[in-house]
Amino acid sequence: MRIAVFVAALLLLSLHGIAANEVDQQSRQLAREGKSGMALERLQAAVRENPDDLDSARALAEFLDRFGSPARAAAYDQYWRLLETRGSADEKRKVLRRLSVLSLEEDNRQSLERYMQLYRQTGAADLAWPVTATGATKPTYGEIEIPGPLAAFARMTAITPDLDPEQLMSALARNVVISGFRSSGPEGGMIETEYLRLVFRYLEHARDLTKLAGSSKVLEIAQCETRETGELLKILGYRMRGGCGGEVVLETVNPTKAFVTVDSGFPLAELEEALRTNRPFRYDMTPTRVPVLFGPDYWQLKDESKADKSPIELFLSDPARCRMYLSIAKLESGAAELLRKEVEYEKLRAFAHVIDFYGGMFHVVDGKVVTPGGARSVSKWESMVGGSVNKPADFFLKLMARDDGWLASYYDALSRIEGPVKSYLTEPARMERFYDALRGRITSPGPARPVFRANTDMLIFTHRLRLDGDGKPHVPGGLALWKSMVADKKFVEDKRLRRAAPGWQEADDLIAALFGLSRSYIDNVPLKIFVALSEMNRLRDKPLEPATVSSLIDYYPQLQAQYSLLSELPTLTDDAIQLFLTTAPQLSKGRNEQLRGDAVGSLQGLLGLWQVYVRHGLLEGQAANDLFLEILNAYQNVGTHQQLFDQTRKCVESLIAATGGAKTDDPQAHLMALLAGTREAGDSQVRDRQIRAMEEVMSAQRLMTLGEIFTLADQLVGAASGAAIDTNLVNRLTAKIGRIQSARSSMSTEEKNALSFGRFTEDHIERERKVRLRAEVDKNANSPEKLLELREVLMPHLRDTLVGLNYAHYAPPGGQILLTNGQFVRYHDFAGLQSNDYSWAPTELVGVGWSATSGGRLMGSLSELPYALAQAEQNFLIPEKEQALIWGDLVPQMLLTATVPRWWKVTPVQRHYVALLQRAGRSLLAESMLNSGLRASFLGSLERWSSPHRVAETRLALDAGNVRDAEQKMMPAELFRVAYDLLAERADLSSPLYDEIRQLQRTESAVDMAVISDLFGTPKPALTRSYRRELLGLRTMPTLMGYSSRLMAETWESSALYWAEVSDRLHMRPEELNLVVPEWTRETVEGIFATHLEDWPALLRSMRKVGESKTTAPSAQPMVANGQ
Amino acid sequence: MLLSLVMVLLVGVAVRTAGLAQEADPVFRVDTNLVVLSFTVTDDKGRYVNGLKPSDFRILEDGIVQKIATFSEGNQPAMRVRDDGGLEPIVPVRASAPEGAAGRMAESFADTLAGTNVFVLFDTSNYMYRGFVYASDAVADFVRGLDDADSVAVYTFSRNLSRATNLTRNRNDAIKGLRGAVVGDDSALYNALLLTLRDASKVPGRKVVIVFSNGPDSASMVAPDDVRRVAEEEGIPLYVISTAEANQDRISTNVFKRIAERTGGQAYFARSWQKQVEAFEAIREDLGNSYTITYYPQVNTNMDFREISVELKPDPRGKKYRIRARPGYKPRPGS
Repeated sequence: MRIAVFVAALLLLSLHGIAANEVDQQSRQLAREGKSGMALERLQAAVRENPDDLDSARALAEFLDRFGSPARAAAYDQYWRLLETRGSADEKRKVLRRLSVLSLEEDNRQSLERYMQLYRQTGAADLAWPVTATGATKPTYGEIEIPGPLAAFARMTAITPDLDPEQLMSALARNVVISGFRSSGPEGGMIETEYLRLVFRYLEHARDLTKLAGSSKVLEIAQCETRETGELLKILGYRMRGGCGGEVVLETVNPTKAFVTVDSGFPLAELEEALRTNRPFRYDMTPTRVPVLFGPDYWQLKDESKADKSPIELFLSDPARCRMYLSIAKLESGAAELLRKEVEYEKLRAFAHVIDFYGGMFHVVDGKVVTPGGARSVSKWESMVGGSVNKPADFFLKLMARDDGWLASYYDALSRIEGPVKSYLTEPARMERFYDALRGRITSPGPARPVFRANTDMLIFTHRLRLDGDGKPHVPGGLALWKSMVADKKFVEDKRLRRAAPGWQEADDLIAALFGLSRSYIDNVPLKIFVALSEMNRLRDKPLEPATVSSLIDYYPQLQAQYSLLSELPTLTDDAIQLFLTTAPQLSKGRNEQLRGDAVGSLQGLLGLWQVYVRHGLLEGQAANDLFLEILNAYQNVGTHQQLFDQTRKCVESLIAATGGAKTDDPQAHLMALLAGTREAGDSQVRDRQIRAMEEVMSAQRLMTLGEIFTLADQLVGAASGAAIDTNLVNRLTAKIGRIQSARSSMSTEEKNALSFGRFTEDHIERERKVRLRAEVDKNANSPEKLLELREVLMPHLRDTLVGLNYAHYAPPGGQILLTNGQFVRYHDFAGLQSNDYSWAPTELVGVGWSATSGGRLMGSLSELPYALAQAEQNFLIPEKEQALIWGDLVPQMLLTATVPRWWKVTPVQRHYVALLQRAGRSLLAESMLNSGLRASFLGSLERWSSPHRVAETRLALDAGNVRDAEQKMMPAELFRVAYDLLAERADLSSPLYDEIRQLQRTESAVDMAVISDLFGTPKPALTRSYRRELLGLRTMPTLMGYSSRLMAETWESSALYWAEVSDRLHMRPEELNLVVPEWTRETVEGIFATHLEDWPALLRSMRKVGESKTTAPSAQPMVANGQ
Repeated sequence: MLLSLVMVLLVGVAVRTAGLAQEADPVFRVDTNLVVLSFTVTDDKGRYVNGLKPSDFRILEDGIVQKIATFSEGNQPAMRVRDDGGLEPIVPVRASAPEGAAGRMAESFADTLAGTNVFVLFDTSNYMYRGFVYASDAVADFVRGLDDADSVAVYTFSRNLSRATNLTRNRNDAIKGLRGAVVGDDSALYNALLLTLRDASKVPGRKVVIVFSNGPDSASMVAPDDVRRVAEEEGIPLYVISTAEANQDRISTNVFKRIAERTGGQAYFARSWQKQVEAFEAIREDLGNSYTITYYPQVNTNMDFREISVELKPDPRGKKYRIRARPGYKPRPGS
């Protein structure tokens, strides 16, 4: 505290005689150095010192604006007051303009009107308020009634109460479609699930309560001993135990009713308390009016033949109607309205499944369908569909009806992409050819028939296809390779395709074949290989040689999971890749199971460390390649545990040397320090905290350190030559081994028999446990050979430690399993299930649920360790509200984006630039309400990054002057992208934010988009087969067969960008992102309250809530000392 | 920092000097390495034995005899144990927790030892679907019947844990949280139990965890014995009320018995509502008839699991007694 006062006094003193401009320049320089907090203090001090100085006031206001401070409007206002009497007209106009936009951004209508009036008085006419609407089609809504309060209904139907009212029916429809019915058996037919039965039971319960409430619709129990009390308790399924008064307790008398009472959240405890204290009880049962798209009549929710059923019950009891509601609600409002008007309900209903999956990109402008590919492709689309784009409803209907959804899926896939690949794929002749290939001869069943979209790989293929410089598709290794591959029965079942392949002349022939193969989810190995190898080449400095591609094709079935490792270093040579492809399978063939497990585990542990160091730039270029080769060469012809130990140790030493370590360094300390992601931290506090977290994991796993293992090995060698052995060390390690516990030790025989372990993991642990190190050393003291052989007992420990370092690096925030199950690393099962070799397969989580195992463990290789660990840890997160339903595949990816990246290379300027673009995006959004031309540009840009449905929603919010609503609908990544586009396209746009961005773009190569993508992107291992960080700017993908919501999570690029913005607002140093990103991500996940698998708005809400809580907290400040 | 250092030094000597000073109002300060040990004494017919004195017991930690600092029976206030074995009231003095002892509060000693911190972990997974409302009634009855000095937290779980009510002495709040529970899907009993133990371990004083479940676990990553180990190390007794018959799922039964007994708790198999109420009553009785002693461990280099044994002076009439206590604990780093 005293230091702070002293610094402030010094600052004040130093300000005397310093011109305002100088302070401005100084503050900018400080901000560039990452000391924005200090810069702010200087500016504030300058204003305090010279409160009437215009330049100081302007500098402070603009600084606060650039850093998104809530105080910016007040600072501008202060500046305006000074300017009012003595500023230039131009300056006044500028500040009033900014104040108007800020007022709107903050939704302060009163200020907006005041500043707009003043702004107009300056003669400016480019902004208008109120908003001039664009005449966009508004969806029409009617209403139906649901008995009782919405909160109770939402609980019973598993819908988040945070939804907009207009979205409630579609969320409900989705739950009915997914969870409301199940097949009744082989005879077919659908029956209600328990979920839906309970919802119906609740509606009956709510109606009974409403009836009891009478005309007031409010349940009122004046006191305990009344007739109403008895009636209410009867409906609730409870009775009083004990007479009215202090002893009264409510207890269940009708479990069915009582269940609905509790499950719907009826305030039973409050009722009990009221009865006990003889106070009145009140509960509002006023029915909830819920908006229904197009009104209830359209959905035939008023059926006179079923008078006993309310509209909501009619809706819930018909899954086909729900599917249609769900699909229509996803459409762009204009397209939905046209379909409603021009297509009969029953006709449309037949295609509900196709609209649901592939209607999201339907787009109508000025009464015409906007087809993918622009003007040149229109007539081809018309001929393929058999309808005119001038008749959108007819066009869409025919598109859906053509072939049970294949053409619609093609249309959807091509609509979702942008850029040169889209131009290539939508060239008319080519487009038709590829469609014919996709459609095939048999069109049924269509891709929309299963629960998830079936042709997932087509969507990935169209998104990830690359073109070479000549505009032709990139074919890894050349066309000849693929001709022979597709002609091979081993890869392709389709005889026609096999016969045709040898005659292919150009890449288009292959691409057409791959479209054809994308129809099948399983029999499309060539497509999967093509995508995987294209990704490898995309990241490489030099494309793979044909021979290497050929080997990669051959080894794909066995080693595909390892290709992300081979992609980590863009300069990895073909020789190195070939050596890996021959070495890895060779190791799996060894007969000695224990030796094989140790060899595979230790090699993967080493390569995992190599991968991390390469990713963070700690190993680069030739040195990285040489080390990769050296490690693989060391594993050739390893025949005994002793040899394996010596070779592995040699590799560890090489790894240390290659990363700048000295022979005298503690090996584990050196490797672990680098696992934090940097060689030298400017201020070591952040890195120390990361290292401590990893040490905690290593300690909880009771792993021997590398230093202990190597020292003991050296002592054994020394002892073999007659030197004395350090008995203290031997005793310490003996004790450590003694603490390795067997999961079986405390179990009954029955339990032991019921448990299953991995094939060799239990043997692995038992082998470690059974070694009596001290006794062995003593026993063999006089036998040099035996002492040397004793090193082999150290090999399983060396393997575990190397694997453990990988685990520690990827441990997710808030992790429990690694701190609780002390055997978790040792239990890693490299062998896998009987009759299969899992040594190089993707990492899998197995053994969940205690009765079958001794706890969960990981199986397979380390290739997907970050994801598998996140899967293991996700259920230890504690949701703030009820169970979040989108846990399954979304959360591990969210956690992965927080554990894989490190932020050491981010400079304050880069972080600020990313934050500025998001703030500029928000500002442009608000400004576009005041300027219809800008609004058109804004929405035009948004169309490139978002779905037509969401663009339409944003347009409507902007038209309505609802800035909060519009902003809430925008993802941070979209704000970032749109601001980037518009500031490049519209030179006329000006504000302190926009000018600062342009200034940085002109002067800083470090803010090039490729660099920013590398720093603030997210790893996408499923989509790009790589852990490299990238910003791809893709529209958020839907749930897809085989991936569930994993690709949706991978295409969600907002988190890192948003955390950067929040941390910039808090004046943190960029390296602090290493600590806060995992923590804030965990908090975000715990706050998600989602209704369904595609409910990313729930993620957005939770993320923003966490961000706002950080910036509004009284203690909002950097986590560690700011060096100021 | 300076202030906390002074407090640590003060704390370090307080216990040792308090007995010597023989002040009119004896002062007692609490340190973070204080060991709280609760146990019951029963006779050969399983009846609780009450009225014993501190001098009747000998506490050993890894075989080292410990000096009892305080003593209480049931829910009576803790008394300081004088050197002569006599008891006298405690005058509480608030002390600061040393830096680095994250989450561990050093509160006034009287607060620390007042009552029991009871964590109820209620299974709301699909497996409990049928008996859910009756089970909820039984838990509510248990909460109502706790001693005024006790605090209670109600947690529920299915696939994830939910903190329905954080630790409170307000019974209505606890019951509100309980009644607001939602029925979920999968059961991750041992994950949830682990997280509950982690929370309980941050609370000073006497604490127990009561699990109310019918046993199956379809989603846990941790095994029962991993969780049991944490409970042992933290010194938290586990009570388990299973709504399944003991012979219905023998593996669950074995596991429940083992984790309860090894931590100083009990397992009950109570399929009917009445049996569940009786089980809760038995737990309440157990808590009400326990002895609670505290001590500051004598010098001990073992920083791993320390075994505790409670010995009772032989009964002059030759009666045999059974003592049920947790087997030990693991000291925290820095203690």
